[in-house]
Parts: sequence; structure tokens; C-alpha cells
Amino acid sequence: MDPAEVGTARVGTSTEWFARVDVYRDDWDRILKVFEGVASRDLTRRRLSLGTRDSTTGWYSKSFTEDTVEGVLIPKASSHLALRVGTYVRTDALLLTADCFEEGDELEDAFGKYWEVKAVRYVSVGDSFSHRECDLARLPLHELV
Amino acid sequence: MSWFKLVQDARQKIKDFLGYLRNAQLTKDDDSTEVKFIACFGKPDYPITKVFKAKGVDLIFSVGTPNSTPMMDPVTQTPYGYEEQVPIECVCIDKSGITGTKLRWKAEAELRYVTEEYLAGSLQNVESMSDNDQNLGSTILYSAKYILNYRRDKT
Repeated sequence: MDPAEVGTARVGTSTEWFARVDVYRDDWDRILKVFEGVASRDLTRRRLSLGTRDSTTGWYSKSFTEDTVEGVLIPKASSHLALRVGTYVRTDALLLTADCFEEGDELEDAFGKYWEVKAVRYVSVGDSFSHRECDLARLPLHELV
Repeated sequence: MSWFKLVQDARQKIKDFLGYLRNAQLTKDDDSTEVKFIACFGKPDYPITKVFKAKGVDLIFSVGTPNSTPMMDPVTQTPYGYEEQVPIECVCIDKSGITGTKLRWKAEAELRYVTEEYLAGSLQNVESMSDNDQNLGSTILYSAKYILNYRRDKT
């Protein structure tokens, strides 16, 4: 999780040495704690990158790099008590995560279902980053590809 | 120039035709640095943001799927060909050294040049050109849409 910079402080009476004062916001840890023991938080992130162009279509080839990230996936119309006021599921599901996601990336959940990231929003507390909200669309035919 | 062969995807034919575009005329605001442009089929399965950012492309010519109307023989009532309109879009955004709306104009001018220079006398013609700018919030996709009209032979 990114530390939030609060400011700088002079070290003693030095005119050259300054210390940067950071604080780790624990908002994301609090969100994770709510779901502790309720749902799996380990997800497989598939980061999209574009390769060479096809000579006929002109389209770039797609490739995905997989790694494990931590997040909470909230399906549409779910009635979990942790779904607090202000968390609104716009598409098939909402992902809460502190890890980096971009539009076009994919996600495999603990049940082997695949999702595509349609939009990413940054949630901040004041000027400090807390976590990301990602709108997910279900990929029901992904297993056939 | 005669009618298209049926086996060839109209989008491929038009995309190959866009190979006549002159990169020297598609430049940044300094009117000398050539932009990076591509011609491709429309609606790929990845976000356009990846093309502009990750691949460093400045200008996209996108060839859409044509509308097709059969031309019927009045006596036999069977098609003797097809009249098709294929949309060509040029898309760009504001970038460092590039004003999107200026580059869009250069792309339009170059499309007009290619159709005037290479389609004269054929059965293909530019039917219309229209504004297609899209405001995505913090970014504007500067875009113009051409409709190219041509005729295709039967199978």
C-alpha cells in the first residue's frame, strides 16, 4: 500500500537535511478485515499488453501476464453487510483493491470465473490514496478461448 | 478499377487502399515531425486507450463493416451485384506536441487526397464525411467519419 506523504521536517538545525514524514493509511486494511474469514481475497490478475499487429486486420495481438493480487469482489445485487453506503455496483461486479488495475485487464476469481475490468476509480481519503474501485464485466465464454 | 472480388473482405480491401496515405502529410503541431498512425479494422477487442498510450500511436484509421444492398436484375429477380457503403473513421487525441483537432484536419485532408487521387474513374466514390468527435469526460476523441461507396460483384 502506498504511504501517504504528510510533509517534511528539518533534521535538527541543518539547512541541508530534511526528513519526509509519511504515514500508512490503514483504510484498506480495515476493508480487508471486514471480509476476513468470509471470502477468499486472493485473486489472479491478468494484465493486458498489446503485441504485434496482424497483417490482415491491423489489430494488435493480446497477451496477459498473470500474478496474484489481493482484493474483494462484490457481485451485483449482493446483500453483504459490508456493502456500505456509497459502494455501488454498476456492472456485473465491483472489485475493491489496492493493487494496480487498468481498463482491459482481466481477473480470475477463486471459483475459476473470469472478469474484465471496464473502469477504474481511485478512492482517496483527503489527499491520500486508499484503494481502487474497478467495474467488472463477467466473461462467461472465457473458458472456450 | 473494377468491382471487388467477392472473396476479399471489404475492410481488408479498404485497409490496403489506405496504404496510399502519406505519412509526410500527417505531422505534429510543428508541421514536420511525422505522427505514428495505423490503419486497422474497426472495433478491436481491447481499449483504445492502450493503443494511444502503450503502443504510442497518435492517429488511427479504422475501417468498419460495410452496409450491403443487393442490386437485383429486374427480369430474373436475382442479384447481379451488391452496393456497399463502408465507414472509415480517423481518430486522435490531444498529446504532447499534438493538438487533436489540428491532426484530425490533416487526417481528413489526406483521406480526401487519397480518394481523389486513386478512386477517380472507378466505381468507388466518397459518399459523405461527417464530424464524429466524442467527449469522454477528461479526454476528447477527435474523429471524422467517411462513408465510401462502391459495388461488389456477385459470388
